[in-house]
Amino acid sequence: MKPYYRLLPTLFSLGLFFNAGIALADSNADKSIQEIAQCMRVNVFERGAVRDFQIKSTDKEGKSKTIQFKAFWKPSKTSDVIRITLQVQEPKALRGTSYLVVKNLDSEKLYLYLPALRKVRTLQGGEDSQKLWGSDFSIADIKQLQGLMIEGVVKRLPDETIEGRPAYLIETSHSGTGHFYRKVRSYIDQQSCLLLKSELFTADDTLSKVLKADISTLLEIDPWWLIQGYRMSDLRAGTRTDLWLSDIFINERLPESLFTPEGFYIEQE
Amino acid sequence: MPNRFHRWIAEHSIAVLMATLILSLLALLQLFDFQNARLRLSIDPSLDAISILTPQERKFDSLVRLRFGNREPVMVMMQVDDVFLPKNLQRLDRLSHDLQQLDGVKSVDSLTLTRLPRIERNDLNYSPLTPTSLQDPQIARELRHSTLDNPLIAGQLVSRDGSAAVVLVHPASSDELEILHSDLARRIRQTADRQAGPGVRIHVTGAPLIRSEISHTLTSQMKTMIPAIMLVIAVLLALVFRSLRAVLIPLLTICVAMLWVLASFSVAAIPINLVTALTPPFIITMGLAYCAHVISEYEQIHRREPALSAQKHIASLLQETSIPVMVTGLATIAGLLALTLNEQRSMIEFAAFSALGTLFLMLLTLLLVPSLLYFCKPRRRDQPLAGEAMLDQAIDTLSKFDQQHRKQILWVALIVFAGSLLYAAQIRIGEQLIGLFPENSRIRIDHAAINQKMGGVNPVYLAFEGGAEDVFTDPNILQQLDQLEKWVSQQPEVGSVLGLADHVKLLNRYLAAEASFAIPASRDAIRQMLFVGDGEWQRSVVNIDRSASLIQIRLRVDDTARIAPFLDRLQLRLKQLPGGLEIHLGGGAVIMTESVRKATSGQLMSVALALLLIYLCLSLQFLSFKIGLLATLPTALQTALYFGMLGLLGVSLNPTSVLVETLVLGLAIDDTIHYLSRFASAAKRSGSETIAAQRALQSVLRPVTVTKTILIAGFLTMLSGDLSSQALFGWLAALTLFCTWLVDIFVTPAFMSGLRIVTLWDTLRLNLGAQVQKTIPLFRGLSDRQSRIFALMANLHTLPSGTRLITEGDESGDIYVIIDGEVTVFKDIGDDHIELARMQRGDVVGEIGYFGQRRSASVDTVSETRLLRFDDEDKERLCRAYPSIAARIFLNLNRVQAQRQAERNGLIEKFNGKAQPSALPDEKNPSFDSSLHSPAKP
Repeated sequence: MKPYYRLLPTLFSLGLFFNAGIALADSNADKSIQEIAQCMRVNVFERGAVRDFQIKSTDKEGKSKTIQFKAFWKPSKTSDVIRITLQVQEPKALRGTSYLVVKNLDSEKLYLYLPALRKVRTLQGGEDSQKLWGSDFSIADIKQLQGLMIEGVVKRLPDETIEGRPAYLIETSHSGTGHFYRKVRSYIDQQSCLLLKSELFTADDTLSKVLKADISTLLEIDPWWLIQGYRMSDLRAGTRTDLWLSDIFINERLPESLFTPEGFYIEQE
Repeated sequence: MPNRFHRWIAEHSIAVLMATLILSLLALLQLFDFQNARLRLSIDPSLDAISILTPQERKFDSLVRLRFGNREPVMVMMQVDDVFLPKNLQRLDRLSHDLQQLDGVKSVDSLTLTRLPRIERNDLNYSPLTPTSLQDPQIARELRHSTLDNPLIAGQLVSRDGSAAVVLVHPASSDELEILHSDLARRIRQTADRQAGPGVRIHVTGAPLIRSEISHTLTSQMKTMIPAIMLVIAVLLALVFRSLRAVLIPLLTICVAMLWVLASFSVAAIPINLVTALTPPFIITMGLAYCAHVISEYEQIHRREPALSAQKHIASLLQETSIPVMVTGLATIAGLLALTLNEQRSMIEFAAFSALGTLFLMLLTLLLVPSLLYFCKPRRRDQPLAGEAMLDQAIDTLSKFDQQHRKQILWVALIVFAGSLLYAAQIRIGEQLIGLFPENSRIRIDHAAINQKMGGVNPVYLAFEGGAEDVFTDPNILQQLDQLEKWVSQQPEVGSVLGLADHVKLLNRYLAAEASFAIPASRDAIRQMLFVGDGEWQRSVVNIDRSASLIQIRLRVDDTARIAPFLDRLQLRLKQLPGGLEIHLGGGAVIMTESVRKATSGQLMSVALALLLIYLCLSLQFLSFKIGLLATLPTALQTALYFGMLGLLGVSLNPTSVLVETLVLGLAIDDTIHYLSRFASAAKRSGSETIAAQRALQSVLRPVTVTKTILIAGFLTMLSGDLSSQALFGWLAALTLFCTWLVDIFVTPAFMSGLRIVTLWDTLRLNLGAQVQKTIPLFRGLSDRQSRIFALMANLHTLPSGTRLITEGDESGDIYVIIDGEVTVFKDIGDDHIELARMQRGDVVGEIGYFGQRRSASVDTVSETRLLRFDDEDKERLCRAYPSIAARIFLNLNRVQAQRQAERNGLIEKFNGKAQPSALPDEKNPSFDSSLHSPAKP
């Protein structure tokens, strides 16, 4: 059983936080690290829905499994709490399996509903290094990707080009314990401030995982930019996971019941 | 007479030495990387080396590793009074983190790092245990409560009594050689040992560590043990022969052969493994035996004919030894190649490289040794070495003893043979990987401690292939697997079992809040539980699309003799599972057990084939299937004796003991062939098997005894080895060599002295000269081969003095050739006894019978006479089978007849007027059996 609930805010961070950025109007060549971080961080959607969120995991043997979710998120009116609901759509045997994450700065709580049991369970805690839903994403991966600009020693390296697109190259290093990866190198698109590629290095300086955007899916929804597809490859395990986001509704008004333990599993259109 | 080859070698000693030197330099360049100062030879201690997996099984095993990961972690156990005390939990956490940080470690499972769910205040809790939280006694108490009834933790990561915790360290690589080269296992142990202290014991085991230790031990043994054996051999050679030549030549020969063989390993890019590591001792053994025979023969030749030139000495030496050395070499190679019937790759490699080594030794013994001897002429000793006279006396006594007690010796041999077969039937088949180490070694103590605390270490897996997606979410199938797990856990050899059913039951307990562990009845419920529980821990028992599953078993036992019955029972139990599931048994314990089982079950076939090949070689050497068969019997006895000893002493039949058997065969062949070769030549020289047995024993006893003594001492040095397999090899080889020596000195001479190896042809050549066609008129014009065929179709008779051979007036077609002795040809006319002629060896008697006439005179033996008799039937057979020989024989008979006619005419003239005409041959009786003296007598 996995601490999937901790993944949820971060998955959205990955899919939307990194994907969506207000286009920078001026030249990006001389930006400082802080400016790049700000550019990336500035547009977290306050509320919204992704009605087609797919995670396709492929194992070393080449066998794969695709899970399709609907995701909804909305801040609390009364406190500084992020609430996210996930409802599994496919495969059919899992349809209705739902999660509700309630997360603030100090704590997080997850509610799980399994339709076959018709029960809501409450879960606590989680594990950083374990893969989520059998995918190649772990909390440790996401945390470090999230903390690219704010944790550890951050330095900017000479710019690179990813698939013909100029990119900032940022390296974040961690010397102490508590970080699964010693070093993360991220390539950030100079035009959109979207993450094009990340390389995660383990303690022995071995390239362990690579997160790569499918640049062909780069969209501009004025004033935002969006990449719909990402692939995380675990080089040591020989596995990969593809993320796909579509049917996105930004700042959509969502019913409050969708974010309560009593109603988060009720299907929404 | 030495042939051209012998003379060529004797004349080109320098060329031979130069060629050997060049080849050895090339071999050295191949073997040693001078640039990086290392050997181009790797050690492979993996189970792969001794495993017998078909390509399909190997492929499936790889697939299982691919799907479920490497199921052979290093197990680090921390043993304390109570794991759940905060200080111990913190220590375990430090240990886990330290191990996780090591290069080459993929992941670590431990109580503090692996977050398996636990129920806290009715919630499922996955909260990580931080170093701070571990200081809290309340958390420690909750942890104890929540983990000891969790089947994924209790017995897996924590002992059921809570006094030990295990950290499972998974290497990043599944390649054994890569793990070895990174020295990961030892680094894990060193890191773990840092947590040891008062009240805290650290134990480390697991397949990667065991293999790593075997690898290190083998490498160090290769560096120290072989030189140690060589040193012992050198010292003993010096003591026995008291000659630098007798020490250096065998050692040099062995070293060159060893160098060539190791270079061959390097060329073939085949690493030395557990089994092929025994090739060097094999080469030492055979090399010493080969050289001892040749050097001993050389000394005898030198003593016998000191005046000969060095070249002639070498040519004579080769004449005496080349055939036995070649036959020995070829028979040993044939015996070794019989091992290639084995399915075990390492056994095939051992057979191939040992056969190659034997070939090298054979060539070096025939080329290098004589060339070296050419330059190392022995000193002429004024007085024999001390003990030589005693040895000669002992040989004489022994030889007489063997002759006098031949029957008793053979009866004892027969009883021993039968007893050996009976004991051989009780041989136990088994092997223990951990048992390779001494009982007081750290690795063995650790293994036993973890085995005892954690309920088994030795891994077995059951892999299930459903053939379609989602098969393993079917409640019925999961129920069946659950039942199977329960049955497996009840087996006495089993320490722990873990499978998908345990995961599903645990998920059901926590998610459905069920009080007991049970498989849900709803398939969708199972699917949903597996979905939310998916992750690495779960992927070790079920794959991504739920089409394959794995049950992990840890056995308490390590001995394949105990594992095999469990596997047999398991196979039977698996048949009760529903159809449609493809099931594979795997894991180190299974591979080891099946490999030992297959390797040893094929052994009987290998031995039978080896004996058959040896029989064919010996038959070819003596050009007789009967003698070949009889000559094979001492080897068969030595082989039976060896297997009997295994049964009697309770030594398991395993790859090591199988390999000692090849050594026994090799040495037995060597001794027997050298003995037989000398026996045959002595028999042909003396015409007596009894004398030949004595002379052959005199000739071979010294080298055989010296070789055996030195080898026994050499092998006994292996008892100091760190691996029990090598110690076993050492004492088993030593004991076996002693037994084969007993056979060599008692049974083989007793047996051979009764062997009728002296043929009619040998007798003819012995008595009538090497070229009988020149001394016997009947054989005139025949080639050697034709003469031999004709002689072998006849019968040999020995008649005492005064025996009537031919009676005048009889009708008979028999023709006789006198081998030795004398006969008189006479006629009795009235009271007169008229002697017509005296005939001696080489003469033909009774040729008139061929013409269908009655005997015209009588013939009596004057002394004990040996005769070659050809009867009508022999002549008929000759006409049918060899018409050209028959034509020549009949022509010769006509000549004899013509000669007789001429003599008759002479007699008529001589008797004219002096005797009654009726007493002489007339027209009706134109000839009488008389003699035709040969022109030259031998």
